[in-house]
Amino acid sequence: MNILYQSIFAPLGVFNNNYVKYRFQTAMIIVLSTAVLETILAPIIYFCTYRNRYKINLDISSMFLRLVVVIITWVVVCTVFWMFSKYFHKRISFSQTVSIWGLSYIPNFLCIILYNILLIKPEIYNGSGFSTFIISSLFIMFLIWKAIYYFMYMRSVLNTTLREITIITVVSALLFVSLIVIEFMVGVQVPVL
Amino acid sequence: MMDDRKVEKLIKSLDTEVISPEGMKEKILLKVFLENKNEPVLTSFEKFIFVNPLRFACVISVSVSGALWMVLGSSFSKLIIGIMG
Repeated sequence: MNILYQSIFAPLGVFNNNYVKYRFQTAMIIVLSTAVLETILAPIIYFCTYRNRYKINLDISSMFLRLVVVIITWVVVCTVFWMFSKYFHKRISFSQTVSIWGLSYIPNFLCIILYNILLIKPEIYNGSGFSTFIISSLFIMFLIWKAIYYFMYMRSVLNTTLREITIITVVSALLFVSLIVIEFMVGVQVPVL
Repeated sequence: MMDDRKVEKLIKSLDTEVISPEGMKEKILLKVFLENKNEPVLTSFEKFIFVNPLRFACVISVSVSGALWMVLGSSFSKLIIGIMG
């Protein structure tokens, strides 16, 4: 819990150190919780809420396919980041990359919760300008928070120069777009990267 | 007076327990801790963002949402409907 708290409110210390006790385990829990919430729990809750109102089915095989795809996208992103770190001669281990990038899934987790609350209980949103302001602020906050984690990883962990971060960002943008398309194709509603 | 490395070597090489000079163990321990850290030089703007990213994200998101509300007016509520699909 201490690592989780620090990752949210004071992440620099957690990101910068080469070894932090329980960082890897905390990151794994965050990533797996995010993946299970998005691909399994949310569809089950939606099904249970609306099965009497609409004719909907629960496709178990698709749910597990989405779970596998989400976990694979995490591993792919970490692998690409680690390969870049090797290419630019940075002393970062694969487990460090995996654990730090895993911690950046906190905004993804919260975004999935908010999205599914609005999907399952749409009556919460009353259509007023103020409620729209609150909800859009939250979505934008999660997006910016995730972007900050990305740049924090690049600057404070990999210690990239401007040239290096530009190259990595261009390649990462193409990679992220491709992975988002793949996730949408299998039915993942909120991109998890 | 011997330097740190020689004392370290001496401590490791002897079979019998050696009483190291005062403060030596703390110095070696601090050196190990510092080697574990990886602190690149960040600009003050980067430090402002990275020390508490949630604060910066909140400020920007509220500003952007407020600006969107001002610009879009009554069509602002269609934004959420558009996001939810």
